[in-house]
Amino acid sequence: MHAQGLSRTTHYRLFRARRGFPTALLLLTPARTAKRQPMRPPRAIARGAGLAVALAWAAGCGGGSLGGDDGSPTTMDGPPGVMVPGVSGPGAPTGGQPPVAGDGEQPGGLPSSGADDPMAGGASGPSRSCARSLPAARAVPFNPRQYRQVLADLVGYEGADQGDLPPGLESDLDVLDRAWVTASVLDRVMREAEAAAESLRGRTADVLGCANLADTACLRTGLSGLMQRAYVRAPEPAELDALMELHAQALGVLPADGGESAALVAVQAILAAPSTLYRPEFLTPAQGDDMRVLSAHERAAGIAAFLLDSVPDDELLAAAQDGSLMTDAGLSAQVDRLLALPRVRRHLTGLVLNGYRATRVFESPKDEALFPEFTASMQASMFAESQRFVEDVLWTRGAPVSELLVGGQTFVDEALADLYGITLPPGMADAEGFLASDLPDGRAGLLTQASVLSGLSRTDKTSVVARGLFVRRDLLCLPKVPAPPEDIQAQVAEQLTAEATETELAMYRAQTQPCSGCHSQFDRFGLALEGFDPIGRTRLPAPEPIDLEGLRPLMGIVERPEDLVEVLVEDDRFTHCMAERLMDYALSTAAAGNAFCDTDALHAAVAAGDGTLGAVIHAIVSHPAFAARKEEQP
Amino acid sequence: MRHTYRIRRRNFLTGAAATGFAYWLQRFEALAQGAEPAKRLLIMHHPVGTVKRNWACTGTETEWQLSRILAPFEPVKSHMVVLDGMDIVAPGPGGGHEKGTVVVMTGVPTRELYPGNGGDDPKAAGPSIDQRLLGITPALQGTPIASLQVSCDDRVDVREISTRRLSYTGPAAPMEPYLTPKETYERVFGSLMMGGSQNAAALANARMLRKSVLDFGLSDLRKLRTLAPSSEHERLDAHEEAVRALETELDQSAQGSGSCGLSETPQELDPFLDTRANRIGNGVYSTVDADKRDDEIHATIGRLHFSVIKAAFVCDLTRVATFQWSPGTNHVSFMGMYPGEPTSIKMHHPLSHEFNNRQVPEFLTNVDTWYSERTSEMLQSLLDTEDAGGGNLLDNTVVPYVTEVARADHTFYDAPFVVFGGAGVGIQGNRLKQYRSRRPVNDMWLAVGQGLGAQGFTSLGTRSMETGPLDILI
Repeated sequence: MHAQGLSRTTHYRLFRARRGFPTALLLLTPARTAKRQPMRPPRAIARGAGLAVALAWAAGCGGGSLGGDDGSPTTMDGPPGVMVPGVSGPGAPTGGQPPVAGDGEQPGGLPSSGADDPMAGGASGPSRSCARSLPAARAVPFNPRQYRQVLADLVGYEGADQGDLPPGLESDLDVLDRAWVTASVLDRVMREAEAAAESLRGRTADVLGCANLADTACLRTGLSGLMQRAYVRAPEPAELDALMELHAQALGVLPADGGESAALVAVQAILAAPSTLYRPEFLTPAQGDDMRVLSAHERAAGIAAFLLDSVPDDELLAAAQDGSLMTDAGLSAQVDRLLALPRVRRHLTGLVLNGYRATRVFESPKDEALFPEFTASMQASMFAESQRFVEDVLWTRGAPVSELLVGGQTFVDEALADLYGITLPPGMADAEGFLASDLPDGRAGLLTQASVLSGLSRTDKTSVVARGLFVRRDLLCLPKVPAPPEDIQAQVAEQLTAEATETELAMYRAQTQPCSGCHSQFDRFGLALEGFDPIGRTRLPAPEPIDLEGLRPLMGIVERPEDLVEVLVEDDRFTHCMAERLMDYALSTAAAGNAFCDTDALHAAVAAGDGTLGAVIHAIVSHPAFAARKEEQP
Repeated sequence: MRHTYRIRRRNFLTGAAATGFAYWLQRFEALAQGAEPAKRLLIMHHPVGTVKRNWACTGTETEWQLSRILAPFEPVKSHMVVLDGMDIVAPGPGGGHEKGTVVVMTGVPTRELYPGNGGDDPKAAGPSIDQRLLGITPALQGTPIASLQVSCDDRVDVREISTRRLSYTGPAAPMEPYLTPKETYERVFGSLMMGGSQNAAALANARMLRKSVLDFGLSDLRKLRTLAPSSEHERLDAHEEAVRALETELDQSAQGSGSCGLSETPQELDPFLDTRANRIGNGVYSTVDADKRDDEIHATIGRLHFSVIKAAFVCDLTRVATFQWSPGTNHVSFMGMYPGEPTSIKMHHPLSHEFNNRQVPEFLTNVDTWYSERTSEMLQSLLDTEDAGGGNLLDNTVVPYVTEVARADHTFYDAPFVVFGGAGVGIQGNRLKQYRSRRPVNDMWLAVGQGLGAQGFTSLGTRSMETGPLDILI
């Protein structure tokens, strides 16, 4: 039934005339019968999406305000700031399978938004809701990747499975919650520790520094050294006694091989001990009622987990032992030393590449018929560009991290030069075919690189949502917006299959409740990138300018991607966000109730530096949250 | 009811020779004195719900015909109860497959999400039903291995936890499943230790030393616990529980599998790990069209995992297991399942979301039928295997065959559940139960618990998620 006796078609025409709605979308859009009545998504009517649920969802997004202070609801009059009405569909390919919100399966496995934070703060604005400024003292277990690295560092073990985890690539800024050691986990640890110990056979004497492994006094000293590195503290005599008892027991039943097998049992016991598996933060007595300062060894363990992805190396351990790590100068010297190590740089580069989705290029298949250029070789080129770019910014040039977004130079091979429309001078490329090159107009930094853009697209078209959420969450650290409620998941999925362009669908969401409540907070970022197709090529027409009204503290009109990234780095927003993400990673504060929240102090410390990654890391490890823990009240 | 001693002397002797004597002697004595035969719980999960119209069976409760998807279960129909009209009641945050998996397995609402992990990855708010029943059901307790978790595939779109774990020891404490049959075998039958000892004395020594290594760690753990704030106690206690579980296995578990019906160590297979370099098949994660099929190796992994579970049941080394074919966001690529394209290879979950593709329901039907066929083969092997305590293994094992969503669109109502089992676990087989007014899945768990003799198991704790045990018991 249609209000006022108008036909469905008439409603469509009136609506189109009023809104300048694109024709393709218009054909999918039912008329609305009252001004403030929600306009349901196509095909949603039959399913009857509940208004109450819809309103609850909108409420969950703060009524469409980025900072919770705008208060501008998004009714059929549309959200503020969207300037795209009237844009004709850019003719992006349609069809194929869309991802469905709710599985976290946005293009290329992109995560969807979550529902764990209330709206609070703005881009680099107010701090997160900060219930307590320090994390609680915890036993932080090494994750499986780190544990393998620990085994490699302690006994030189290079297990067969090491190849599963290319250095750096599997590091991720999105920290999982701390794992629990259940029986199957412990079973795996025991086997890995056993294999690592066994890998020493033939060189046990060298590693433990005892030419004669039957010399128990020497062996005790050698095992004590290993224990100290593994536990990141000096072992107590009782602990060594227990270890030597185990060794004696093994000596009594294992073959007489000069004591090597028995020594390996003791090594396995150290490698599988909880003091090796966990990084405890509570070994130092509390100082005062409400906090405990981490000891030098605990601090060293935290720095090692953050930067070495493992236990401390000898120099770091020595700095803990002589106390210099507890001084500003000593701490700074160690951080500088570590940042110069190739393995630390690889690790941090991997974190950045993964944290900013460059690695997603390998996991974002494209429709071969539409994008035959998106071959494995092209994907490798795209990733190599990002890798070279990040290494250049962070390490070769030591530039401020904001360069990651606004950098005007990149590295391309022939394939990428074609993709970007760059003419390469002949004979200048390096052995792998890459050459530094200025970016053409319309591109700047990681956000416009093909790896990131491809990873933020579907198989057959771009994704305004994925790109918008990436900017909002990963570049600005704005609070998460809730996923669509499950009651309308099916309708959302159906809408995603509609024969409409991404711009048209974004328009639809902008004009429709409950969609607009949340989408008004990130779709605009994605729309600003609609000038790049699903594999990152420039395409026409160029997107319409977007107005950042209602997204305070962002403001202004963004006409081109270069304008957008300038806004993102303004007032150190991007740098602050990166610092927050790295701080969360460094603290392993994945549990929501234990999240780091003293962002103001961190921002201030970052602002005092030169904006480089090194300065950010110095700010993190110098922050009280890195050095102290909240004391639990009985 | 038959609870008489029926174990054969030859079976006992061979079993005792091959396995830990102490445990077998205890079992033998207990059975000889008329102890109840073992009861077992095996929860099997298949992904992505079903296509209801091809799943629903027809007929009355006792005179009924299997549907197309369930037809492969014909050989075990005598031990089968089809539950038509079940709802997955799933309050709380989380994505479709994600929350569905957690809620089905825990029976309680989700409360919070893991940070990251795709933004819709819920934490379990309590222990899973298998662990819960294990704790309150004497008939499930006392075996060398308290419980066993296996999964045949670990690939997901993002690094989420919820879809990849069925079992939880407590809130947000997932139990990692074994991904390769070889790992499962090693856990159950042990491969020990320094230098690959072969003879019995060396094995016994290696076993003793491994236990000593665990003891050494236990003293370290206890020291940490004395210093740790109370908020960390639960985590460290779970670790201690894990130490004890492994120590118990070393005290008593088997060293040889031949007499448990498993003559060979499972072959080495590439695990389906969620790491970049170890992806099999397609080289990418979420794609509809794949270059290489992996349904065959998927079936092999499932069969080999199950062979270890069955062997563990035969020798009564465990009585509780969870078996997951794949996470709900299934990345297994099937060949020949897409209608009219016998050579095309399609990935299960990505294609399930092509709602406008009219061929998809048929594809999903074929895949679900594929899972029915493989699962049925496993259940048939339980049916065909004599239980030491009397009857066959399926008589004394309750097997809820569950999924995490009702349909591919993530809806939770009218979900497909089946329970297999026999008189030993109280199941009245060969029944089609049609709940027109619909029943929550927790009602199934209440009935399963009652059939197993769980003590004080009258509620899972959330009244809005249950109405009372299903009428599926004898």
